[in-house]
Amino acid sequence: MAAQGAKLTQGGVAPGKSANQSQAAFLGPQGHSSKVSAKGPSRPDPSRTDVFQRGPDGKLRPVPGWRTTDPFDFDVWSRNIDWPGVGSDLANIALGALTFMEGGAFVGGIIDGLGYKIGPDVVRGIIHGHHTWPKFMGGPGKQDLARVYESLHRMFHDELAAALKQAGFPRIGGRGGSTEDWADFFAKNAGKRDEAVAILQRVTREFDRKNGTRISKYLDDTLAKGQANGSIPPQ
Amino acid sequence: MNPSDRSARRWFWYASQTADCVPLDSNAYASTTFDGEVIPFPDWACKAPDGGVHMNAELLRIDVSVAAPPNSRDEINWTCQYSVRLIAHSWLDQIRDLVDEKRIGIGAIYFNGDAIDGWSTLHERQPPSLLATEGHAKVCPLCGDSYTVLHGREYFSDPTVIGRPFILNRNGLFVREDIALSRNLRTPRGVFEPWVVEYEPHPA
Repeated sequence: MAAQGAKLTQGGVAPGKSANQSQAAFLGPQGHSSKVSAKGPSRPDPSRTDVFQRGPDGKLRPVPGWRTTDPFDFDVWSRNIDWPGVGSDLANIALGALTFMEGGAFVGGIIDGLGYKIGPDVVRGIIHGHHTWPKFMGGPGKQDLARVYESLHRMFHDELAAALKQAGFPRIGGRGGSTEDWADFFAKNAGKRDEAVAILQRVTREFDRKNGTRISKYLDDTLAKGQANGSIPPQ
Repeated sequence: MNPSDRSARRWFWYASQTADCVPLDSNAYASTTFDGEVIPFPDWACKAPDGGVHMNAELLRIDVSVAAPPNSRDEINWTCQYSVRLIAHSWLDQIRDLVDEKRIGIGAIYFNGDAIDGWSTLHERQPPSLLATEGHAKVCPLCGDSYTVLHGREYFSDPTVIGRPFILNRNGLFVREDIALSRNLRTPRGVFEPWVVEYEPHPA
């Protein structure tokens, strides 16, 4: 049977979930451990939707029109998989996801390594490259990006926006919050750029503590480079 | 037009979206130190007592010298220092008849000493501020430059805006909605899709 039955769902690791916690995704509905194997959980779903199809080369590819296969949302995802058909390959993806979470491997490489030619858009749907020193704050366009799950990425920016708003800074993005607005704000308010960076560092550290991410490391490196090349004055 | 008409109190707000700003030519200007950096300090700039730098709001026309011409992609741009508004004639010509030159100056952009064809600066003297329900404003005591941090819903509260066909302030360009619709004004490149802002008198 061709690969059928994996229903794609949006979403990522729940906020605050650590790599270990995410292994709960491998527990069955009764909470019993059902370790991922080539067969996978025996829970075929009659409402399953085809999302993979086998190409002429015999490799599995997503059915056109589906945007994301989020391996991190395995507990939702796995319920709709026709395991006898695709169990082995999909289980490998799930294990790959864990490998990424624990070891930091790039999920795109994992997926490609399995022969799934999932495009970069899909990969971006899973892992976001995060500019730790935002460009609107004067951060460089080219910087080492921290890899963050989409859901956490969104949450981080919400928290940063709230902290900046509370301190009297402009919006982030959109009308009134564009790069121009921020440049104008910094020009008219001496010392505010340093204050914004200090808030950014504080929010980032608190976020890392709460969510087990390591964004601060990238931010500190990027800020150090900025100070070295003079794009930000030393504090 | 009747000031009580609803259409006299609504504008399309064209706010700059591009981050690809145009640097001023530092060789053409005096300099000053701001936040530990040396920046150009043109004669059309003002430095507030708290150290903030901005365009002198009392001026009408502002000419600028730039270190590089604006990109050809965007029709509305800004200078990286002081956020002087730069407009391509391809779009300015569509609204030029709305520009009240007693309030708004049309200036030149110089690159290597030559005026750049097809581009102008726009600057309104003492423009009305765009306010916001959760924002806060700051006014320079020297030149009257007003700066608003926008959060919440934006609006104008200065009654002099009623009926005006075109307003220009640091937040962007504002074209009266009925005029923009009647002439099917297209959105210039480099700005957000327009957003309607209205006049709302301050509560008594």
